[in-house]
Amino acid sequence: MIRASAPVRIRGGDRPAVVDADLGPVGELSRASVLRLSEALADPDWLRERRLEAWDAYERMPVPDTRGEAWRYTDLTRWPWRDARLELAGAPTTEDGHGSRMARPHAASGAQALVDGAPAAHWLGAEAAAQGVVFTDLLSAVRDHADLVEPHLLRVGVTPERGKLAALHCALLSGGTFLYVPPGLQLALPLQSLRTLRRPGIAVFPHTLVVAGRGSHLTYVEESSSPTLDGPALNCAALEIVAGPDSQVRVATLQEWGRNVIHYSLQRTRVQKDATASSLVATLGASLSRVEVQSVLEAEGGTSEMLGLYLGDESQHMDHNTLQLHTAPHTTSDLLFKGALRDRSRSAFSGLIKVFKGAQRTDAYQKNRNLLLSPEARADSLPNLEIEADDVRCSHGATIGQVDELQVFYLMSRGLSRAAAERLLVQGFFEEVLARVPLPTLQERIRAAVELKTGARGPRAVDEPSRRDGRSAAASEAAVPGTV
Amino acid sequence: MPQDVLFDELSLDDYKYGFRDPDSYVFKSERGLSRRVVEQISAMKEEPEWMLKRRLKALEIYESKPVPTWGGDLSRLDMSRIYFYVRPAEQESRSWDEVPEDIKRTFDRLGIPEAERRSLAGVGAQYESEMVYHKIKDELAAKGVIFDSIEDGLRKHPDLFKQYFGTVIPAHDNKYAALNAAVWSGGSFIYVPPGVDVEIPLQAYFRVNTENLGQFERTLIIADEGARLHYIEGCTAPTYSTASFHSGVIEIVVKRGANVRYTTIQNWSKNMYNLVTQRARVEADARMAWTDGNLGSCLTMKYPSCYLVGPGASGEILSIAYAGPGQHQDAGGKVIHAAPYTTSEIVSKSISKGSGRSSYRGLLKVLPGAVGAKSNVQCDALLLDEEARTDTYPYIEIEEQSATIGHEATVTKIGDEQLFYLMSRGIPAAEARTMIVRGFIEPIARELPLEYAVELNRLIEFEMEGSVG
Repeated sequence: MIRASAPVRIRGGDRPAVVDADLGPVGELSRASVLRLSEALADPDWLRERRLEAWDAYERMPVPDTRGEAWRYTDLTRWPWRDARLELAGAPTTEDGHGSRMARPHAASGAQALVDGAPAAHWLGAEAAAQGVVFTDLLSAVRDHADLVEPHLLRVGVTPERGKLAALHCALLSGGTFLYVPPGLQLALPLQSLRTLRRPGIAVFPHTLVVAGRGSHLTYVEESSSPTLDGPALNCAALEIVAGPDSQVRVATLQEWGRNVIHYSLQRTRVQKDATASSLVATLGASLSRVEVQSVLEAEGGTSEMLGLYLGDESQHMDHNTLQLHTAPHTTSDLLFKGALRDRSRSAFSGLIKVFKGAQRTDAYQKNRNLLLSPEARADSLPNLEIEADDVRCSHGATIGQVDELQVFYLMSRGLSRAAAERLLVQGFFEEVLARVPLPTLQERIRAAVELKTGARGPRAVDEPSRRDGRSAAASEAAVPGTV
Repeated sequence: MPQDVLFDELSLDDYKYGFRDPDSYVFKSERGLSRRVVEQISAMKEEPEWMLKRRLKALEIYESKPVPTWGGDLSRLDMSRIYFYVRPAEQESRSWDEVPEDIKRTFDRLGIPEAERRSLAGVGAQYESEMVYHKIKDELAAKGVIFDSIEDGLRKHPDLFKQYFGTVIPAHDNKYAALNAAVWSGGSFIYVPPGVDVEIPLQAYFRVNTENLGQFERTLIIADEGARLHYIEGCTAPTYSTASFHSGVIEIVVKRGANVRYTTIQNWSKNMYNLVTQRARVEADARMAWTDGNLGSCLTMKYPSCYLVGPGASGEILSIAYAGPGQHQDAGGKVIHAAPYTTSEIVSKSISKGSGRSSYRGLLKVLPGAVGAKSNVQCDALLLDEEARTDTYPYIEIEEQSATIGHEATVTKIGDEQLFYLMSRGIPAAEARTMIVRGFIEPIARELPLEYAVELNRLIEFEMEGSVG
């Protein structure tokens, strides 16, 4: 359906006039800093008020530690997220390896690049633009499309009550993406946002707002990657998605930050009447990842599919926290998160299916499967159910195990090394998730990323450095599994 | 049995065991908890100095720990109204005839001497804060099996007692274990010598009669190498308008190759707070099985646990909970795999009705080095009407690569298709519903001693009668 054929030219967008400002480390910010930020970004009054409200909530809340249930497996007090600096700057213009990678989007309806949180480039196909699609950086949208942004921004469910980092995000959001697809419009090609970090020690707060009009179809893909940075950086992000009545919305996020990045992301989707929302979260990078994915099924006929995969190595810590919230009858949700862990990496999955009183005929499923690939790896799984309606079908499952020795033996009997056999099995393990994402380009992109990461240990492929640079170019070859 | 009799016996609103007897006791502590109350309990029991010191230390721990907020609602449990110690009789009896007449009548109504005559190897009975009766078959006593009140255990077997008491559940384990360690009174002390097989169950009954009583029984069971034991406890209380409180601590040491099954059926009245810590230390190649039935109380928080500390140890937890209107059953189980090739299985079945809420809360932990550990957890919840609520909180924490872990849970109501099928075979709707519910609990009911299985089935039948339509 989508082939990466004709290269697409990306031009610099109409950048909002952002004043350069260094507001200092996150840990030293104050209410005055929020006001300074708001001024630098020329916020309308309503946004400044929402920021201040969030800042007050942030200051009231303690830093979550493992005594609370929500952060039971991740002790935020032990990570240096407060050292990262909030700096605002105009977008850089240099084109290095990462920039050129960004300038090669897959066939798309539109594409956008953010560097260090600031918009660096954007492009929207002429046809889509003519049909009323709005795809731009969030600050421009606040300025130019207030009627579309104001009712939803920080109102879909990304609110200070969600926790300390969510409140911090709400207070400091800057940069990000706004996507609006008008009623009835069915976009065949995805819209993409490519993000990178370059400055070590930087803190960014990108916010994505996707609004799908009644009966519209859209696919939005967010890819984040960076080299390993010298100082601890913080990406404190959020996505708010409104799947309007009868719409079909697919959102995929691929996270490949370099080590030293602390990644927090809160994604909340409102699924309206007869809408179908699908999400995929792929977590591969960063030192610490904490990803919260929430779907609210608020009207009859809503369906939410929530997919996730994570692959940890070295001392990576990956914490996924999900919520399937059924507030209306006749709604469906289906969640599958699969993770594999190498070296000393550690994962936590905690998911909750919550069915409100009166949400009869709910059909909810939740599954988390984990592969432990090394003796030092650790996986914790906590799949919860809270059910207050009786006419429902809710079930969940969790498994933690290792690669099947019999399968390894079979592959080794066919001449593969143990490492290669294990890699193949891990890739196969993730196929169950990828098979449910009907976007061949994205599937290949993720397969390549998984392969690169699983191949990064043990005997390395000689051509690996060049593959790393030309990652998306390598995507099509990567469709052949098991190339060592 | 005629239907109206069945109703009479099984109505939860007209709780079968809800009768009360006039208060008669030889000592009753003042309301509330204080150092003085703890000293009084210890003095009444003529305890050695070290035990008093431990009690007072535990009291400090209890006071330093916050009331847990992660489970049921404890905000309405007013500890200052609770009597922490009520002594019902001067001494424990060995013969049923010696038990004071009024207490005997109570237990007669509960059917205890009958049960003893029928099928048990030994029986203990606790009334308020003290065991009033303990008896074991002579041939078991001759083999060296000890079945005493916990106080007699301390008096008569101080070495065994001191070696194991508080080792499986130390006072600082949780707030209510600390409370129990401070004010414990009553409970059983059981020792089964190496290789001895106690073929028929030992049984203990717990009865609370005084309003606002806190019952803090403490049971210590030691199954020596290769021994085998099945212990059953049953709990009832009259229905009062204000809450009573039961907080037991059950410690079990299952030594190499031994096999212990512990069955609890609690059918406390609906104003009882039931916060119990039950834990077994399971050594190499030994097996521990908990069968835990929670039918009564307003709030139960109870998670029987197995610490599998020796290679090849195995643990099994079967939990069944029924939460009727106004009840919250927060039950489940905990298994810690701390040694290689250990296996465990948790099966939980819960039924919620009316404003009842049943929660499964479990922890499955595999420590590094527990090579080849295997565990499977299955939780099924059945909701009988739209007011009912169920939760599942299964914590799974795995630090060992070679572990194989599975967890599954389902929440359902009685399926229309199932009903339709049975009715198409000529079975009336009410009966069909009962059959489906019986089928739902069958995997656990079949593990229960016959009399409890029958009672559980009757209870279900009655509940289902009321829910047609």
